[in-house]
Amino acid sequence: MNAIEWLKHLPQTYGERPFLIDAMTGRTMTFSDIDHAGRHAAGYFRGRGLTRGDRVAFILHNSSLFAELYFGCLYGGCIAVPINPTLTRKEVQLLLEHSHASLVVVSAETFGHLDPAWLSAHGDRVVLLADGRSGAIPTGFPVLDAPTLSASEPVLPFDGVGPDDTMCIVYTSGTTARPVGVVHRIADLIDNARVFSHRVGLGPNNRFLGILAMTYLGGYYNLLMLPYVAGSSVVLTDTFHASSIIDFWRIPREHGVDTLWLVPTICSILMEMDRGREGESYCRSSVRTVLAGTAPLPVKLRRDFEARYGVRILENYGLSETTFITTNAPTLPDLDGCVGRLLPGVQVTILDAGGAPVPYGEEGEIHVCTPFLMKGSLDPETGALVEREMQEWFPTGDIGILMQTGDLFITGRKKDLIIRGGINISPAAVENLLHQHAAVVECAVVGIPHPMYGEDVAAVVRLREGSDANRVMQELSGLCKAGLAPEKRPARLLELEEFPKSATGKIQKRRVREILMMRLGLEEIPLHHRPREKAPMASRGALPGRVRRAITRPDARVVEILRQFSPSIISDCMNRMGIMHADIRLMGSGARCCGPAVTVEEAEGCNLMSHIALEVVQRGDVLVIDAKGIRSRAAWGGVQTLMAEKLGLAGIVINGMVRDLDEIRKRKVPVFALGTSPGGPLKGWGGNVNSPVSCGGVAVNPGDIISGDEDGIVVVPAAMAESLIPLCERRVKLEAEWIQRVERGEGTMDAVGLREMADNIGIQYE
Amino acid sequence: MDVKQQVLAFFGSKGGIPGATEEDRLKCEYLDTRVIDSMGIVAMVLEFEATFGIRFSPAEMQSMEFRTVGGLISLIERMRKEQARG
Repeated sequence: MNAIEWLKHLPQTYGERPFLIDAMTGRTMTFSDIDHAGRHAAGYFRGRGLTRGDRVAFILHNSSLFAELYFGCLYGGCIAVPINPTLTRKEVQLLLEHSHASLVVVSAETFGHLDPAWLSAHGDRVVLLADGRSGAIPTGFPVLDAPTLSASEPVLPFDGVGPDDTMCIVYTSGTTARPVGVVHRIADLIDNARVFSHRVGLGPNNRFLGILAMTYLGGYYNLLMLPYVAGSSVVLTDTFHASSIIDFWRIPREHGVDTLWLVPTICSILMEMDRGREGESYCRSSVRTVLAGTAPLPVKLRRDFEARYGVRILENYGLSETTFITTNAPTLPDLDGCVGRLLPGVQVTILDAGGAPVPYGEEGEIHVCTPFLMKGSLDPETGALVEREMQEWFPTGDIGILMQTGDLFITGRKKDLIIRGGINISPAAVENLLHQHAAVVECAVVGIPHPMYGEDVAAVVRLREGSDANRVMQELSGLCKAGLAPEKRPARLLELEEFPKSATGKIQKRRVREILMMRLGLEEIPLHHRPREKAPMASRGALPGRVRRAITRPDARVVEILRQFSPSIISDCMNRMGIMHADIRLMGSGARCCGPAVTVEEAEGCNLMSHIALEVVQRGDVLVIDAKGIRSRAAWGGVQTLMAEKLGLAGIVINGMVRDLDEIRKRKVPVFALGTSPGGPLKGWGGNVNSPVSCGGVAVNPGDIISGDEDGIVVVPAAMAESLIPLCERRVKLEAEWIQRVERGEGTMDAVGLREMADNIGIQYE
Repeated sequence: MDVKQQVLAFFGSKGGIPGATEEDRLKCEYLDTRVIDSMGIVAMVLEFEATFGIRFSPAEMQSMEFRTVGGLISLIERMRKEQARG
């Protein structure tokens, strides 16, 4: 199932289950409701003349109507451009001009963020969303409210829209002065969310708290689209702010929230300000998952939080450009400072200063190769899309250590970036602003330790000789207030007469930071943590796997006898149990297969272990591969089928996709799978051969007997096999009798002996 | 400085409280009008607790009184009196 198919199946599968519970209005939307709302919102955009690929900017606070508009964009192929309402007018204007948005949706609260000059030139692009939040709606602009949306002609979702269409442009502070417009395809976000939620075990039973701003990826992706993709629900609230702290647990308790996605700053604020016991007892009784990301989570804070609230925090790591790279999961070891294990399909290499790969356990810059990499970014000057290759290695700018297990530790940062409370701030942008003052000769902006934000912004300036320092410093504060969003403004602004510089004359920011910390009497707060032990050097690539060569196979005579019976007969004699679900179908020849199982467990999207298993199998075996139900790429192909035929295998059963169907059809060995996909499998990850697996909804142990034909697959536990033989023989005779009686003219009610049963049940005839 | 002056000075340092008259300013619901952000409230609580030698309980922080500038001043004054009485 590709990303679009997945999105289409969600409302069909979860229809009347609640998806979005708006705690601010009490409104609940089911999966069907959001699907309908998305169709209408897409219709509204179409009615406004927007077509696939047009950009819609949103300058809005959290609301369920805003969520509807996001779905409208997605369904109609428009590109969402979220813009944070805390930005200054100037910053907003820059993004509006840069993104070339065809439509700009604001609310009564955020209307004032539009520059009057821009508004007079582009007022025809502006729509006011009546999102039910405070503020009088300005006049003179079209108002978009719930009745207008539902009156819009609905459109067919994803009409002419594919997984590679652009879903959103998200502006993030990079190391450059201007924000970077990161462009993501639908598939980047949706497939990453699927892999992430599968790894963490998120599903229909999770209810998230939507507490992050929907104009950030945290609120838009982590807390809206990802829960949707996982079939979970979200309780939407206002963005975490001063008032939320006072009564943090009321909304989770009232709406049964059991999944929290916190940023480290929220964790530390709760540790300080949550003074009752209610949160502790609620967490201990009801919260199943706490995820944390967006900024480094100090080990001490994590441990203190976990000890107090009694729930493990699962850290994850990703960038706006890459989406999630790693995550911790309940099934993974709990390691101090570890941001999780690589997601399936994602590769990381650690490079030293010279650009050479380092062994596992050694420190260096983290480079990522991921199928979920952004489509590209917008050129900072022209706004044109600069595409990236998916197979390209992306430098994260973070320093870290990769263990042989695939566990990743972040140990520092190479890029010039400040992360304050989970928000990226570009020092260059602040420096550019300070340089606008004529009295500033040199300046440097660095991150200084902050107990709750992790980092805060500090600036040092060297002033022109003879300047009135007090006056200039006040003017600089005013400049920052006018030109920078509150979170970007320097908390400390100091004068420095001499800047530390390298031999080439470059300001040494590390040294500036040390000087600042000394002058301010600050102490380092350890944000990063190294792994306890160095991993042994090993070949790069694969996660560890285990191959059991020797298994106990059932008596060959028993297999031979069972081969005479169809899977239907066998299943009937097992109380109709052991049947794999009907999605696993015969792909190749129509021959019946019966043989002992050799089991394979693959990492999602990979098929290395199946190749290994082909060295372990014996003639007559059936290879049962748990490919984790991944439909985006094949786990088996023509070359392997040829090999399987040469080895005399009785069959292949895959909880995944195959490709090279033409080749498979030429072979005698039957192949059963979920379907076909041209996508090639990955090889970089391990798994297991001959461990218990789950395939088609049935547990399969090595040595169990697999019986399959065009009807489907049945698994016979090895211990039960011999005892089935007389039952199957009797069943075959019985069915032969039924056939004879029907051929003689009897009806099935009498031939099969169902009349007495119908009487016993009390079936009434009219 | 008395409690009122200290509290007003704190909000002054955060960019001031909206309102034409002092009466308006004392009625200001500083939590909802976003006079201070999430970190601002942490700083505020910690600063007032240190300055006045008090500690806000969860019930006090969740009271309506806590939400306005004037209410906060009354609350702190009462907490100080109660503390003085032991």
